[in-house]
Amino acid sequence: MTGLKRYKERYDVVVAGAGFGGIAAALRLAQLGADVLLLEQHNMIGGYETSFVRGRFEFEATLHVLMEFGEGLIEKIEQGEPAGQHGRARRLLVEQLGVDIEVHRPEDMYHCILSDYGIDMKMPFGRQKCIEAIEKLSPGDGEKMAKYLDVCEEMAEVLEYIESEPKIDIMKILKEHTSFVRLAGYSVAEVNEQFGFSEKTLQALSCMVGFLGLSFRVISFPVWAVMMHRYFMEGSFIPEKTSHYLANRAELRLRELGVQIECCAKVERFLTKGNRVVGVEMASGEKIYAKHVLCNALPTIAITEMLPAEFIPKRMRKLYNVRNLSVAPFALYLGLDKPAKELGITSYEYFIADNLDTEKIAEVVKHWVKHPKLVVTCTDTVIPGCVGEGCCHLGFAELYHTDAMMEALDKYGYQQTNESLANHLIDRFERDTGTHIREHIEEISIATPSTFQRYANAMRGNVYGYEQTPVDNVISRTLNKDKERFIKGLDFVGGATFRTVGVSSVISSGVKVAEDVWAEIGN
Amino acid sequence: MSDIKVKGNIRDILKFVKNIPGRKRWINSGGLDVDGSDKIREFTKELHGGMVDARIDSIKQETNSTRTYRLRAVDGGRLPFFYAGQYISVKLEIDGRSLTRPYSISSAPRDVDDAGYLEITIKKKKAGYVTNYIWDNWKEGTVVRFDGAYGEFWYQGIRDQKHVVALAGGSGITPFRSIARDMLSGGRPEKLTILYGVSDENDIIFKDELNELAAKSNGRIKVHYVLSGTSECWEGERGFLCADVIQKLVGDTAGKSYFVCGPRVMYGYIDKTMQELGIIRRFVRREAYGETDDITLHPAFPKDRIGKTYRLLLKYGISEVELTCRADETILVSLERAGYAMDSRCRSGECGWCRSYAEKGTVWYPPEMEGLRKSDLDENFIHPCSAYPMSDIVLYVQNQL
Repeated sequence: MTGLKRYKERYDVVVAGAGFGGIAAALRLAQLGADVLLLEQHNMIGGYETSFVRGRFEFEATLHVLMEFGEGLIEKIEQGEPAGQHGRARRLLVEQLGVDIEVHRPEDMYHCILSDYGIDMKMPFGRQKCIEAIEKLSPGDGEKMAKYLDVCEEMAEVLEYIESEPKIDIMKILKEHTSFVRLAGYSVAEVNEQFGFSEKTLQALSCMVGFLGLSFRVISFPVWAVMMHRYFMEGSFIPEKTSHYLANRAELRLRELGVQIECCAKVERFLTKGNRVVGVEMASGEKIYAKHVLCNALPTIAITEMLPAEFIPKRMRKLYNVRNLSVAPFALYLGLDKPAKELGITSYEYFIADNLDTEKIAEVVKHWVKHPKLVVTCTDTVIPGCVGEGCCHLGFAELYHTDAMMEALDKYGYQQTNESLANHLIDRFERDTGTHIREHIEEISIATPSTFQRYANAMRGNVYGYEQTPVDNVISRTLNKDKERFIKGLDFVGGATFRTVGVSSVISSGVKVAEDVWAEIGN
Repeated sequence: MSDIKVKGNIRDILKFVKNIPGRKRWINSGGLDVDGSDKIREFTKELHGGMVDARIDSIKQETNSTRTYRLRAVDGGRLPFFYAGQYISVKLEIDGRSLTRPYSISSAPRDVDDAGYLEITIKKKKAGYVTNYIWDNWKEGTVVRFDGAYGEFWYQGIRDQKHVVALAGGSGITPFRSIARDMLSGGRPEKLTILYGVSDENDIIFKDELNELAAKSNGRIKVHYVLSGTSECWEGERGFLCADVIQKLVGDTAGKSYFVCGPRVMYGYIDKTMQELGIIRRFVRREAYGETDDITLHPAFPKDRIGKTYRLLLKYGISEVELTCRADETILVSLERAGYAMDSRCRSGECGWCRSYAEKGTVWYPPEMEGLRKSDLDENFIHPCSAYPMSDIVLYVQNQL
């Protein structure tokens, strides 16, 4: 007991949770003039945007690539032509919110090695290069690829319209964007089949499913198409010094804007009065009042633990009853005592598997078994020496069904199970890339769903919010956003909300929520 | 605009349009219960525990200056699961001030479930403010508060060699007692050779027990004591844990992992020894050394700062208070002295739990310290447990005080 007072009694807005959704909302609100308190249960802000240190290695904890941080279309930039507007996340975070960060682009989008098909190719950025790479892989498919990229572009355009217009005109979409409308209701598998690609091309194009972790029969096409367009045309990026650096830069800006940031500050429950949320009660007992509260925790946690039961409207209960949690990761971090180049590691992001039968893989990963598909990153290939002189690190991130790990909840067997899953990844990587990494492992760390639960309060270790099925994808969520603000005085931010997961998505949804809230309470 | 169709124009459009009422139907199909259960969270709690109150069950005098405290959870509490080699962070209140100390667990992981206890073994330091307090105040029945387990000083099968050489100095033997005991109940490594450096025969902690563990281990565990003092009747190895001694006792030094735990001065020495033996970093694991008694003895400490004091403006939430800090004490210690201690764990700079933001000021870290993130170093986020102030400081403490 120090007698030092930590909180004011009242703020304009209290943000519970400082993942990037909470951070973006706090930045925007402060910029608009709000008095903001940002609370985080962990000992620093950033959520999944974080890093950790083992020995001389600082490991990126979660981030693979940033989307929408480009300066326009890569092809145009390379040709010295006007490149169009910057990526949305860059516009918001850097240009609008003033968070000063530096990012780097890997040479290629990804490197896929699919042994059943004899595929070993680097997928380049930029429209023409991409088409050429597909033509080379499977002669005759280049033209189809051009068409595919056009469709993806249109999907991205319409989605951007849906996301940016305050009042969405459904009739306008129906009239002007028929191909969007025709394809928006389908899964990736259903649409991909219509293009007549060879099986080889389909496989090579399926790699980024590694970011989503579900089957192509479940992922809705627009979600996928937008990702394809943004990554391939605008580029993917990694931050200068791990994603923790993004959080640090955001923190400096938050401080500059006068936001009060408190860590190790867990919100126990929301305070209600009448039919409104009016504040938060801390685990330490303090009560803090606010005109509005934003919650960066998973809505399911808020509903089941932080709000009085009678406070939850029926429709909200039903929505969170039918929603399924998304995926939970197993991550392996290796600190190697040689630079990537010396080890023969040449690509930033590897996708390695026998094949990408996404349905089969989705079945396998319902269980806590060796993962059939490897997703591996090596930052040293983009920023040589970024880990330190003479070393590099490899990050493996494998997505499982949220309930998979439930099969293996034995504390005495935990280490050995982790090791056996990790050994498989190391063996497979060595085999398919022809590299030798095992005898260079100086540091190792393994994260499981339990680790993400521990540090970020990720429910059941799930890091992607709710499954994005066609009835619950970014489009349906966005179209229903206002109807589904169920609780007065409380809004949600983060990857479980309408713009879904990913740094760029949670920044843009956080900013949007902040603006909506300020429009209501600003006066 | 593309002409791609899936099932035909009209059906395709309907598929999208139907998703709008489709969502309504989908939501309506839901029940009223929201499932908040989380087995992963329960498991996480089992793995990592939280704050524990434990009662001292018994105290064993190991040597003149060393005692082992056996702790049992107070009713309803649960002792933590841990890996052999980890430590707990003990929370103390001394003269009305809060502070913490990391102590390696000296009992085996299975002892928690099998026998309901956990042990820590503490060496009393000559002028040790905290250990003196513990000596005088911890009796059977005293309730000790701690959290953990923490730390990275444990065997990892993928990284470490099957044969581990333990280089222990003084009370640095404690984690190896845990590892050795764990080996006899199925734990790893496959082989452990303990080289235990002490100044005097009477200072050997766990001597009988270590010998017994070695005898029972079917050759998996070997223990060698290396005396640096001048004791006359000692017939064993003499000197320091130098290259010759290691080579003599270990034989082929290649293909083994070296786990080092001991007083701070030992680390620099061991680093040189490892270099001499040509053992690269990958095979050397070092336990965090914990609280440093006197940083002015560190060869790299700027000697002109000894005894210097600076102003420390502590910002906590909406409050601020001005304190004094000393260049030759960590910022954490200055805060603790003033009664404004934040929680801390490793006290070595490694774990980052006390991480705070220094809005103004510069600090000095021991150059061998690891644990800081690059961007933290650039943006002046500091680890107060290992940061020595070199100017006036404005510090935001974000941890709860």
